[in-house]
Amino acid sequence: MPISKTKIGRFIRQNQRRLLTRPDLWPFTDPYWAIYWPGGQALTRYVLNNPGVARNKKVLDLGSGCGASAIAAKISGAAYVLANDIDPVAAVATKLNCELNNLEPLPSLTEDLIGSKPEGWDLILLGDMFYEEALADSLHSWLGRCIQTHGTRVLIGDPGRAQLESHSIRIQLCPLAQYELPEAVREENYGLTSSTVWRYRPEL
Amino acid sequence: MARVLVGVKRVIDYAVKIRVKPDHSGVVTDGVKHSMNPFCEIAVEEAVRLKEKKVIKEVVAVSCGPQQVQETIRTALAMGADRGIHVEVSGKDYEALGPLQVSKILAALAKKEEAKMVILGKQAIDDDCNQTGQMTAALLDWPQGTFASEVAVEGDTVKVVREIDGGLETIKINLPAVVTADLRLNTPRYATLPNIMKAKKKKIAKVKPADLGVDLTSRVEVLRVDEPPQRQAGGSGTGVESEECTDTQEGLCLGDGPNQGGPVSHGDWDKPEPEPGPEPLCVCDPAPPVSTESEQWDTVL
Ligand SMILES: C[S@@+](CC[C@H](N)C(=O)[O-])C[C@H]1O[C@@H](n2cnc3c(N)ncnc32)[C@H](O)[C@@H]1O
Repeated sequence: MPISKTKIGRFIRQNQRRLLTRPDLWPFTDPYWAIYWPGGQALTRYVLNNPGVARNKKVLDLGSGCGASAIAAKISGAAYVLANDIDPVAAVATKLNCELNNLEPLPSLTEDLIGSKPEGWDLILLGDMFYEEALADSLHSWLGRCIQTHGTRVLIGDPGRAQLESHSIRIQLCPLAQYELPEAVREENYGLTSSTVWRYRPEL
Repeated sequence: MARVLVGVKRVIDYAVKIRVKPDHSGVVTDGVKHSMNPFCEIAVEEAVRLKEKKVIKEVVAVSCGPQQVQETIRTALAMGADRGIHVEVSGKDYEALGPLQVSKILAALAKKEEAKMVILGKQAIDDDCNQTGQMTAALLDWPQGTFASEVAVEGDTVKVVREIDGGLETIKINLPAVVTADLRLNTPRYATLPNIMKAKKKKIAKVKPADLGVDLTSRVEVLRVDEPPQRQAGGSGTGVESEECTDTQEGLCLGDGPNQGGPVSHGDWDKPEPEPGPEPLCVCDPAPPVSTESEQWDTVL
């Protein structure tokens, strides 16, 4: 039987300290939601600095992880924000982080949307989602279709990962902002020093 | 894109007491702890620092050997390398794999990847050959800066401070170039758990030597491997001779290729150091406390 989300939530809350300081003790496999990724950090900062991109918009945060970018979109006045992550624990983490930011829990979805029929999103946020070749390929074509059918604005936050830098999508990206990573973030991401927010423009 | 290729060799961990096989054909490797050659750690560290200085854009870690060398590549990725290349060599080919074969592989990859620099350890602590960097440079017909204790990229050139007998030599060479790391070049960072986790998804491509057009035939025959002679009691302990000789492969270092090496400083690794040297990276090391995500939350949201 899968563990209920309430139980996971209680577990995370009770063990917060240990979860954050002892990743070797994490009882979850690949707990990406436990990390605030440098790509997501830049994207979140960008949305907070430019609330106009999200205000009154219908927003999808794809691969939302801890939910930071989704939360930033909501704080910026988005009409609707969906936090989408295939890891059900990420949905719980996002709920807890909504609480910490005095927000009503955001709607979340664990279904894999990549490849599905594009819905009418005004804005799609992707924080650090170009970390795997196959994922990058499928995102590339699906995001292209979202833009084609609905004119969706697609923003990508990425700290210069090889999987993005060497991908064919790279020449279709326009830089919007670049942020230097704070020392604590560099310590956890050796080799990375800055993170960029890109807009995907397939027409380029 | 400016790219650095770093060679990382999987060797028996430096703290392990080496045992010679009863038939004197080699040393016992089964069930023995292995880790990245310490000089290769220094090479990776230097490449990552160049990336952090934004002098280069990408660090590619290469290792030749069986499946297990992927662990060594993972360590390099956790230290900040961007992606890995596993050159698959196993069985008899792996037993006979020496500096010449590795140099041919590295030279082929350096061309294929259009590397701006190849950074290697000055030698490996298992065979102590000190040939791979020199031969790689020769095969590529690139300049070389061996025994580096300082590396500074200046436009299309690199300034290398070299550790030579009784002093330091500063040279300026054109890029692309091969650089080999000496002990004092830097102190490698630990592969901490957050970094290990983040390195999990970095790509390790597999290639075969034949795909690179490299023939692995070796022209060296190992006749016999012996334990080093027992040390005499009451030695003066000048620290000049290797204290614990890991040089178990007599007859293996008769360079079988172009060798334009600089001076060889033996036994550096074993010398007492002023500061504790780089420790082996181990994925099971207890993690130092990491900064909490919630702190970052507070500052950003
Ligand atoms: C590197 S994390 C980024 C998390 C967050 N955006 C951030 O920047 O902190 C990648 C996330 O994508 C999720 N993911 C992977 N494939 C996905 C898919 N097909 N659809 C939705 N989420 C996916 C993972 O579960 C993980 O939480």
